[in-house]
Amino acid sequence: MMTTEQRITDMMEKSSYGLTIEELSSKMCINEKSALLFLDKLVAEKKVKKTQAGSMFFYRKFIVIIPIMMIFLMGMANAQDINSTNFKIIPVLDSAGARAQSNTYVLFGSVGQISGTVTSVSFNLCSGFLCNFIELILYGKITFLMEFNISGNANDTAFVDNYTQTTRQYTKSDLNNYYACLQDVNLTGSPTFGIIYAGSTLNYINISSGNSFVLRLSQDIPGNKFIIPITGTNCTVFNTRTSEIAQYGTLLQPFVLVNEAINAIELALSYPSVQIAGSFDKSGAFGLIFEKNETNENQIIVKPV
Amino acid sequence: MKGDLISGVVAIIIVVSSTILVLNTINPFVQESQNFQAFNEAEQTLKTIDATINQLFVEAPGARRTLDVNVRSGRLIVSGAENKIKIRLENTNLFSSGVRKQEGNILISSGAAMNAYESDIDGDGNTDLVLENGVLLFAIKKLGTPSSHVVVNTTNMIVLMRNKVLGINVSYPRSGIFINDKQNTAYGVGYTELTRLGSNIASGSIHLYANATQANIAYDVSFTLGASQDFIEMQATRVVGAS
Repeated sequence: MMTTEQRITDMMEKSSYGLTIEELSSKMCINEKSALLFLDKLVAEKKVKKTQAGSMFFYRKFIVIIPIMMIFLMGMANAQDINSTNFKIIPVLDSAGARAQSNTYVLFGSVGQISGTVTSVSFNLCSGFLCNFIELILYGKITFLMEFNISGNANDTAFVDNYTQTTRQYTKSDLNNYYACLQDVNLTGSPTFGIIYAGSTLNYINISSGNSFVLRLSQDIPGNKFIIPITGTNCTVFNTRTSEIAQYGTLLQPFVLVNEAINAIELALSYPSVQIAGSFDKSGAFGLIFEKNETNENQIIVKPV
Repeated sequence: MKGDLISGVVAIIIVVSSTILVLNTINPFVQESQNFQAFNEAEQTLKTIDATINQLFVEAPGARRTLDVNVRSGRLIVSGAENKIKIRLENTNLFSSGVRKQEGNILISSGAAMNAYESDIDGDGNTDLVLENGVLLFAIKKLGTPSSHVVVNTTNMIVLMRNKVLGINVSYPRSGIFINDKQNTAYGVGYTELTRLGSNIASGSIHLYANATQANIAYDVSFTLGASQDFIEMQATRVVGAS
């Protein structure tokens, strides 16, 4: 008799490009919350990899497919530029970008976020540089810290989820809610500040205290996002919203709703791995020209006719 | 004769008052349906643009598409600095303030306006970049320009975080952005800029570029505030260099 975890792992193996929570729960005939719990456990055990493309999270079997593909793609780029004195990163990443738009779009969506236009100094240096660069993309971590107090440190309390220990480094398996928070419940409205994880893979969270409190949160570079709340009520207000962040990669409404009279709606189209170039605003009837940049495949140039 | 006159006046009063009553009842519905129509049109326009861009993804470099759009309500904004194509509809009360919804690649936000501006917010004689809505204010030092890089240190870049609702300021918090937890990735040369200066806009971002030359790593980070939101979203959008 296979366990649910084994069945999930098997299911992941059969899917080359990963599955969303909805797809997995449907295939497994279990509810989404249960699927999420199992997947989080497997991600923590590094049996399953979680990647983000836009607002979607995909889970797939943890295999080293990206390095193989990147090395393959870089081989192509090396061949193109092998005689040049300067080696540009652009064609290498553009190759990856092209893949990102094919069937493997989801897989490379998060990698595509790390793109660039940096030209390194020489080909010889770059051959080594590129190897390190792959490591930076795949295994790189980004850490954000803030050190402060709220109107002096009296009555300030720092939390990581429900914990207050300052000597401990918290990882995903220790926590239900991934945030570091500072509150002062003795001040009117209990001002609350913090750093909340909204990325693809958490590395660690810790806090330390002194005259000020240090909040530190580290996560994988691909798909990274931090939410910095400047709100009130106290730190537990974050607990009710972390599942929303896990699902959408962002918050769909403020922690504390404030009714403001003037209202407007904005619809914004954006992509995690594509750059939009252009700057204008217009109304009424007009034409738009969309052009794929000839030298940067990840860039779409938008111009009015 | 007098009775007929009174009857006529009463009839007119009844007709006029019932007309006013009906109009008052109907008008909000008419307005709401107009708002819905404008919203649906805007959403459809962005979906068409989305489909066009998706087609271009799989085509060769230099591929082009022309698209005719009609933005009857609001304005279509192409903002390369924010990496977004937006349509903003003013005075539209379809959703609660601050509520957002993600539909594919389109993020729908509802709320009052926010402001993105330059100001010496701490009175130290230096210009700061400010994101402000009705709930909070967030300011970062203005450093250099895209064409003129200066020393950038992420450990002292934040000038002020203000909770406007509770009247609480956190001034000059120590901060830091580190790649692979290397201390020398927190500083370098670069610049900060507002992706869009403006009043009464739906969202605004501060863009930070840092080239941590000692670590041979460069990165771009954006700090974004939306209308009515009580949080800042921070994201490293590009990281290049060696590990």
